[in-house]
Amino acid sequence: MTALVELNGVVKRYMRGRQAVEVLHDLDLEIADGEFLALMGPSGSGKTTLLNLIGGLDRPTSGKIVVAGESIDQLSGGALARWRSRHVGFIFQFYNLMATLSAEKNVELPLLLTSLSGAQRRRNAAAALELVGLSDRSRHKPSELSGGQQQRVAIARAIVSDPTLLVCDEPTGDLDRETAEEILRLLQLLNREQGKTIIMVTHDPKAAGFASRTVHLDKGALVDSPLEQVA
Amino acid sequence: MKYLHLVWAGIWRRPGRAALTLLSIVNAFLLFGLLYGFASGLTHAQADAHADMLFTTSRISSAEMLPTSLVERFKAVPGVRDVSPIVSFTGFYQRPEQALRAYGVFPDEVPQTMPAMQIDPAAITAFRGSRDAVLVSDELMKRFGWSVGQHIPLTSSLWQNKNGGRSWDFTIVGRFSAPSSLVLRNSMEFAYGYLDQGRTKGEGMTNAFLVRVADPLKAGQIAAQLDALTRNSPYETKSESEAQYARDGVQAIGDVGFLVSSIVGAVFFTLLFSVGGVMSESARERTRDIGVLKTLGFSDRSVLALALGEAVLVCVGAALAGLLIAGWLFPIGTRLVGFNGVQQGPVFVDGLALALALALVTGLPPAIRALRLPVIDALRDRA
Repeated sequence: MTALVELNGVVKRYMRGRQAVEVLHDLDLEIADGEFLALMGPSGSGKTTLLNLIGGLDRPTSGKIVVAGESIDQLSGGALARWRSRHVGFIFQFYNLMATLSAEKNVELPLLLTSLSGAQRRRNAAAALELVGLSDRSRHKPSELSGGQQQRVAIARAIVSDPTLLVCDEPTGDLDRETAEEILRLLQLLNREQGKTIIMVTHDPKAAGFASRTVHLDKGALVDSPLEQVA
Repeated sequence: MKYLHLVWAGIWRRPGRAALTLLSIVNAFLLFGLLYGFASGLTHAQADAHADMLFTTSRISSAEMLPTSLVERFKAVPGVRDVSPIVSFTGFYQRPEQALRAYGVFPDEVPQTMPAMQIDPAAITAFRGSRDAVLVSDELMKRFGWSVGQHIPLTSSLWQNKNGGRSWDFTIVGRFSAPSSLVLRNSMEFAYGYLDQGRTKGEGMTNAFLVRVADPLKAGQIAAQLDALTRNSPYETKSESEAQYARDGVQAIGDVGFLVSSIVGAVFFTLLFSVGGVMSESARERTRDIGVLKTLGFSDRSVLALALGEAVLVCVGAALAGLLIAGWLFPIGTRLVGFNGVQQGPVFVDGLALALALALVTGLPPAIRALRLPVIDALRDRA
């Protein structure tokens, strides 16, 4: 399998006041095309920082990040924004839907950045909502949906522009066990049937069990773990 | 246009607050439209003045009457072309709220002493040939639905007739237009003699004289000569150019421009803080939404444009509503108070420019904050 994501010697430092804090230390990682990777580790281990770097929300202090053959570590803010719109679908713990928009309009948001017509955008949004089983709730606002339904809308928004990879930050962290499993099964389905590459940060070993591989981060470095599974 | 629903949804995120903000802007621009319309009408009246026209009133007060016998003495002054007394007939048609302005003049001196008047010569002939004839402006004809040949009774608030009443019958013999004169285009002219012979007091007297000079450059000099004629008499006069007279009239009720600017300035100063506060608060509440948009790939500039678009839509939309309401109310208000003014186009344009400035001043700080907000920090706002 070819690598879709390659990280070489990635270092990330933040300034905390006058003090530089290194969050990620000389990190190397490869994620294959079509892989469902779970990223685990204790709080403060740098999971979300790593996810943000892979998703192009942040830039490394040093090192190289290549996604789908494109080096994203040196892209300007504007170029990185355009790259994100084409290549990455984001799913967050708290859904991050826009409260004033209906489910359909939320899903349509990424398509506003494309040259698609209004009618085509609506068709694509409807197809994405159908895929996550929410066709009948397309006119509802987020406040009129359950947590699980809101996360499904967020997943529909993440996949509507057919991105190269899906980046999920604790996607089941705010859901009850049953609903969490439904969401994880949906992600698994997207991975297996649609071939989506998924990177998921989670604290939950059961959630990680839905992934094809799990890697562990501790204090900014990848570590071996008895839980590690190789698909 | 494809982002309009995003901007619209942003405005109505908190419907109650949005409605109150819009209402306060509508009110401010309604006030702006009405007050500046009034001030603009007065300014326009000054600008309409003709350089060859002098206006002569009593030196003591414009309320003091002067004898019409001065007409012949004024006419004898070299450089004077035409002179007519002008007596005011303030009154109403049928109901007190239908107030109007009518002026008694010498028919033989019309239209010479009213250079802004555009009229058919046949109407002038008819005016000079009938005692109760009246010439009516197009605006008044339209306002009251009158037609030429119609007999109209007017009730005067100033003049009682010898029958013991205040109703005066006139016959409309012609209509005129006066696009360049606010005063004239909202008035009607009748024969001075008709009023003078029928009234119970003030016979042979007038409020003022309209004097037209041959050379506008000598208007000041002739004004001094006219006033010299009446010096040390019981009827000393003050002659001034039409423009100066209009300015004096405006100043008699205070510095209108300053008054209007002060009121509107205070309103907008308050509005600036209230709308600015709402815009900033609204943007702060949507930090996470800004983060989401940037995460999805919206550029910093797109986010700036969305935030500014919201401010522009709120301010300009509400201002437009306020100005349109002002435009609708202004003619009704002027009719009720008997003010001969029309709202000028520039008031509307100035109002929209002011709304745009308000949008930029109140919308730019939160928009710049949204532009500069790092996507990671914006997303963390949720936690």
